[in-house]
Parts: sequence; structure tokens; C-alpha cells
Amino acid sequence: MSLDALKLSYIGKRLQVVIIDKNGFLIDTCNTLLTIPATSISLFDNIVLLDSLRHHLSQLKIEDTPLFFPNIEFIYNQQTIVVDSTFFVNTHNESQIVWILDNDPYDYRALFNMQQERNELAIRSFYGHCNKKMVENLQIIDQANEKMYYTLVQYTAVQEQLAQPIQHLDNVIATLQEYVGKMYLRELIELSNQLQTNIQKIPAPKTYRGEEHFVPLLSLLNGVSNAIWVTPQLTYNPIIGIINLQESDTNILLPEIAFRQILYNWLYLIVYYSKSAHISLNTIVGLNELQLLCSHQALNPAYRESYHWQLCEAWLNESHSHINIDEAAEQSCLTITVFQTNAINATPIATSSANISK
Amino acid sequence: MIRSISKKIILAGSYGVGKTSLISRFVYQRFSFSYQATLGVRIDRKVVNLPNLTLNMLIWDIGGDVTQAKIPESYYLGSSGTIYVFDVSRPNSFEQVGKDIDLLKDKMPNTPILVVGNKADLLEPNLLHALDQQLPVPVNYYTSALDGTNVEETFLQLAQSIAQNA
Ligand SMILES: Nc1nc2c(ncn2[C@@H]2O[C@H](COP(=O)(O)OP(=O)(O)O)[C@@H](O)[C@H]2O)c(=O)[nH]1
Ligand SMILES: [Mg+2]
Repeated sequence: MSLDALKLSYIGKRLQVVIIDKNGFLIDTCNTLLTIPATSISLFDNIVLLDSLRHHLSQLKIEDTPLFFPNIEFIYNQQTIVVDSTFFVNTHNESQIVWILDNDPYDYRALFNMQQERNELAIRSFYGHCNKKMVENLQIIDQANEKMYYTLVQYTAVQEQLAQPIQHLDNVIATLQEYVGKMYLRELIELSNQLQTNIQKIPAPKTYRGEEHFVPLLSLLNGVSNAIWVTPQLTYNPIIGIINLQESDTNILLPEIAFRQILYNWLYLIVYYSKSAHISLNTIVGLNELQLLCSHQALNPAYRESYHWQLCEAWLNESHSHINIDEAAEQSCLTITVFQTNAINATPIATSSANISK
Repeated sequence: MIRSISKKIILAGSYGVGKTSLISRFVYQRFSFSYQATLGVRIDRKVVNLPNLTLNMLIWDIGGDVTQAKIPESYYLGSSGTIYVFDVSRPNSFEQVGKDIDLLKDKMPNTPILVVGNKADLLEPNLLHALDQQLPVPVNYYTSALDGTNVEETFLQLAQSIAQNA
């Protein structure tokens, strides 16, 4: 049978007929799916599917039932092909083998999706059993984290003690500082790049301020300072320390989450960009206003250009709150307008101060 | 001159146990966490150099269960060796291991079959040991396609067994 005749018998299907001899040399092809050039190389050496079957194909007899391989995926000419393959001896010429490649992308896709769904479902239901275990593991991780936090606290204390005897190792410290400085620069560039892309992602200024309720100022400031203290990016920075707040038990009516975020950003950036070893934070609580004064030294100019403003802008505008930097006095002030403090008949202004020290 | 031959081998075992991952680790030194079901069969090639022989391994990745009636007989045709894979972290992937091995031996008599417990990275050593005691067939290797443990060893072991038969 000729190639054309063979093709006719499969009319209406998108398939390819290839005729080879028993050593895999190409005799004819219609190239519907694959372009197989006539070469002096045996297709047995060229096509991995045929290579796998070379022994069987060379022994195939006219009376044998055709060999059928559904859904075989292989790479030919850097192209992944999925085909149903059928092999049989040409009834009109026993020295020839006919290879039919049948590929129906729609069937294939549908089948693929079905199988993918089924398998994923099975895998997922298995993971469902594991979920309980995972929750337990998460609890263990939480505990470990907590432990690590306390270890870090201890570690800083030990470091302070160590600082005395190693003072004569000035050179080592200088080298280390240079190293830290460079890390710091890299961090800085990275951060500003990151901020820039973040900014681009922010839609028109519209912040979700969240619910307003009375927030205990002292514990909130403590929480934020703790968060800053454990921020990984800041651990390079030698000025990192703990904020010690003096006793002040004021409750303020404001959207807690938004306030916490702004406070965190503000302090984070000051700590990040300040070279001083000592930062102090004072809070002044008025009836409708909360003022946070942060003294610091040598604030890096990058801070002014930072996108911090934009990050806070929406909320600050809306609430008529603002941020000022007094460079001469080395002081930043964050003023937040609040509706009410609980200091109704108590003293109108309560002051508390905090120190971030090395 | 060193002789060069092509041999077909098969990776069998339930879905999701890591057959495709083991192959891509061995052939391409790659691993991916994402799961993509293999439909039908995927054929890859890797040349393995043995002392007196260059073995052109033609690796057939059979997606689906061995016992599945869906797998056409022709897939097993002309195979010189099999790696049967199960997932040490998924009991239903090794419940059938005894039966599956019998079936494979029946379909491909006189060819080597290696039994491999994959995803060993997910199990602690003592759990792995306990599992090993429970299985009805001896396990040749505990592998991890993720970190590469015993992957090369498994394929080379099979290549050597095939070379001895050839
Ligand atoms: N942890 C781990 N995951 C693996 C390992 N091998 C495969 N996997 C994951 O198991 C899933 C199924 O793997 P795959 O190779 O597609 O399995 P196949 O259906 O047997 O071909 C994928 O999400 C893989 O990332 C392994 O050794 N360790
Ligand atoms: Mg697969």
C-alpha cells in the first residue's frame, strides 16, 4: 500500500503516516505532525520511541496484530509531542513497517485535565489527614520561635558584657563595621527599590483604617517596639535596642491596626536611617491629639526621600495628622489626631517617654 | 572499542509517588514541587557509562497504577528492567506493593525489578526503619528526588543488572 492509500484509509483524522524499513531508515512520510527529513541516519537512532522498540519492530511479522501505544510523549527536535502510535508491517511489502502517529489535542487536553483533577483530589485528601499533624508542628515552631526570641535577648546582654574585654581588638571591630556598613548600604538600596515597586502597586490613596476603639497606648507602643526589635533587617544596625516606656496608662480612641502600622513604619525608618546609638521617644497625649516625639541623631537624608510619606499619606491626610522632621533639633514628630482619649476628667496632658538604646 | 546498546526501562508505581521527579532528577538534575500528572507514557533518554559498555537508557515513565487495566500490554514490551516506586509517606501507595511486583514479574519475566521507596526526606530515619520492617518485599533503595539521595545509585544499579544480562 502506498502512503497516499494508507492516508486515505484514515481520512478525516489528523494523523501522520511514516514508512520505514526494518532497520529504521525512512522510506516515506507525510509530515503532518512531525517533519522528519530524509537522512542517512536510522530513525532508530533519532527518535527515542523507535529506539525503545527497535528490536521488536525489526522482528515484526505480517500476521502480528498491530502494536498500539496510546499517549506516548517524547521529545523530537526540541519539541514535545504526544501521539498514539500504531506499528504494523505493510501488507504489500513485508520489508516495510508502517508507523501511524495520531494526535488529537482536544482529546488529550480533556483526558489530561480529568486525570490531573483526579490525582490532585487524591493527593489533597491525603494531605487533609496530615493537616492535624501540621497544626501540631506549627505550634512547635511557635514555641521554638518564642524560645529563640528570649535567647536573642540573653545574647544581647552577653554581648554587652563581652564588649569590655575585646576593646583592644579595634581592628577586627573596624573591619566588621565596614562590613556591616556595606551590608547596610545594600539593604538600603534593596529596601528603596522594594518600596518603589510597592508604591507602584498601591492604588489611589484609599486606606482601610479599620475599626476605631480604645487602645491602651502603653501596651501598643511596647508591642511596636518589640516588633521593631526583632525585625531581621534591623539586626545589622548597631543602634537596635529596646524601648523602655515609662508608666502611662492612657487609652486612646483610634483605628488600632492602621495606627500600629504607621507607628511601626515611622519608627522602623528612623531606626533604619539613623546612625545614632540612642533614640528616645516621648508621647504627649492631648484630648484630641497624640504627639509622638522621636529624638535621634544624624538622620540619613535618604529618609526624607523615602517613600514612607506616601505610605502613610492617605491616613495622615484623612485624619489631619502629620509628620514633621526638625533636622536642627534632631527630632521627628508624629502628630495623630484622635477623637477622644479616656483622660476625660484626668489631666489633659499625660507625658510618657521611651528610649531606644543600644 | 566500548560497546554501546540501547535498553528500555520502565518506571512503575501509583500516581504522585515521584516517578517523573526521579527521572527529571536523574536525567536533568532538576526537581520541582509542583505536581503535573503524566498522561500515558513519557520517554526520556540518558546515556550511562559502565566499565565496558555504554548503555543508552530509554526510560519509560508510565503514569498510573501498575494494576490499572488501562495500561496497555504494549507498554511493557521489550523492557529490560523496572524500577517500581512507592511513596514512603503515603500508605495507599505501598499497600499493593506485593501484588504489583508479582504482576510485573509476570509481565516481564527474567528482567530485574528494583523496589524504591521515594520521598525518604519526608520520614524520620526510625519511622523509615519501622516501615521497612513491615513491607512484604525487600526494598532496594530509599530515595529522595528532592535532595537526590540514592537516585543516581538506583539507576546505576539497574544499569549494571541490565549490562550483566546483555
Ligand atoms: N518531598 C518530596 N516530594 C517529592 C519527591 N518526589 C516527588 N515529590 C513530589 O510529589 C509530587 C508528585 O511527583 P511526580 O514525580 O509528579 O509523581 P508521579 O505521578 O509518580 O510521576 C510532586 O509534587 C513532587 O514535587 C521527594 O523525593 N520528596
Ligand atoms: Mg508522573
